[in-house]
Amino acid sequence: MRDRWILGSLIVFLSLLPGVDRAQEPSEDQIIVIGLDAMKRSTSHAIPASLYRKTIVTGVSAFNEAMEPVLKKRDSSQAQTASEWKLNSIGVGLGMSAQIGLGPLLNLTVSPQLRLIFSDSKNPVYPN
Amino acid sequence: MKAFQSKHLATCLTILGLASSCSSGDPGPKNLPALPQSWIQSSSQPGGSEDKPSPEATKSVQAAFRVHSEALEAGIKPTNGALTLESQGSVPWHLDGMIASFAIDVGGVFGALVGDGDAGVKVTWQKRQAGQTSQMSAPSARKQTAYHFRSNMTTHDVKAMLEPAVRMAVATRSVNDEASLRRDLVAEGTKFLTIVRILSQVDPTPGWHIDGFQLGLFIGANGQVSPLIGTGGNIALYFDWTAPSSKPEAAPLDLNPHQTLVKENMAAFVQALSSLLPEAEAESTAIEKTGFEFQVFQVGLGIGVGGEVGIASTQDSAVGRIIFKRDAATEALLSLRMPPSSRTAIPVSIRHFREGIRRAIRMGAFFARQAAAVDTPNWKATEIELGFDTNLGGTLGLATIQGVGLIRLGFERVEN
Repeated sequence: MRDRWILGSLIVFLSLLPGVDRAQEPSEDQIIVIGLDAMKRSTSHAIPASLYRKTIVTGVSAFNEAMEPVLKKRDSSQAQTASEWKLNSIGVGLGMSAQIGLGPLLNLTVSPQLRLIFSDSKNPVYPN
Repeated sequence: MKAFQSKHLATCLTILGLASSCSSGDPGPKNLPALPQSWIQSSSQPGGSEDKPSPEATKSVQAAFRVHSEALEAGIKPTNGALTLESQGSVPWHLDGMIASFAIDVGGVFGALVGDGDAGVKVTWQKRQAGQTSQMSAPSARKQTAYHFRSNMTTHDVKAMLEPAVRMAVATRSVNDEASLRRDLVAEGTKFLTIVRILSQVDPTPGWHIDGFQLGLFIGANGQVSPLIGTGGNIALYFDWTAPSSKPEAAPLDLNPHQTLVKENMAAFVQALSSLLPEAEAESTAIEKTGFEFQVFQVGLGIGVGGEVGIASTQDSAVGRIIFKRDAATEALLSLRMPPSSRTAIPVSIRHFREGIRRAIRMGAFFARQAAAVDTPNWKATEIELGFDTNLGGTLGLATIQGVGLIRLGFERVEN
């Protein structure tokens, strides 16, 4: 009975230790994200890089597929305008989010701060 | 005996487990790798070995940069030479770049910034057949709501230029007091024009030039006009002056005694500041090995009630920001940005500020090295902008998330 108790304790401790460490010390496949909590204090967490990457890939490719046809259509409908100014670039703030569970009490919404720049120039001036 | 050993083994395991839970159970960021505290606290002292980031912190910066580059590679198809010139010098619309934001918390932990979004949409109009420029913080970038000043304007010109802004604000029915708005906006415009006229006659150090002067403004519901402090509010507009490529003939300035004092102080301030920039280039050799170059320096301008001129250090009431630019242009650049602060100008100790800029460039070199190391076949990091907080006396430290400055990294498409 006592041996079973010792074995049980050992399993519990071994399973707990690396779990906590993995969450706080970023390994090769983790990145740190920083945001503000509800009290406007900064909070930092290491999260899986694969999840963050997937969030960006999904957002960027979807935005790209949606924007390019619209911009090309705009060009064809406004061709040969007389103005000496032309629309050169558009910067779009990318809104996307993913929920990441960091434990039973903490969920983090990851919303990367990205701006995508679309242009029809080889030397665009980026929006400030 | 066996029972005794088992009991002690169980006790040891319990103690070990409890100790381990106490040391690592705190979910806070204290275990995350951090940049040196000396990078965060404003300091004018030359850094020693403790000023260098740990290998763990270096890896975390590189991982944060790399994940964005890899995401672009995975999410966007390469052009495969499809960006050929069409009529009027245009190429097909395409995703040309991405700007990612990063932050450093007060403990020095660096990471990708997450949370509330950036401004929705920003557009840039460019003159047909315009010359070559390419940078995300382009001081000459045209904003849809920007009002462009010239040094030879009169107060009447300013009033006429700003009248559409007043009408636009009133038409939105978000401003109650039209007269107050018109009075305040023209007053701000006139003040901006005065500074522009003074700046246009200041000679900075050879090798660097004043590229522009900008001020963001916020219009409140009662028509009050105040410097832009962030997102929100009803209307935002910008005053913008881009220095002409050739210096125009100096127009006589009709200045009162206070303005004359400001002019003299501003000339001294600009010349002292710009004289430090070529000196700081000595530190930039480490950056140039990465392909980046220290090229843009932006500083918040504060003017005191007694006419003193210096660096402002909170964003809410600076009179504008001066943009210094290196004469020679390159593709990849490092931009150092000093956030503006209060109307009370901070006196700058040239000695402290000189060392502060050198340290800033050394920090920039660190980030440039990490950015240069994560190039992918179709996308590359081409621009880094670092924000710094100013302390009394002109010392510098990286702006933390609770400050106004963040780190931005620009990626551009590599045409294949």
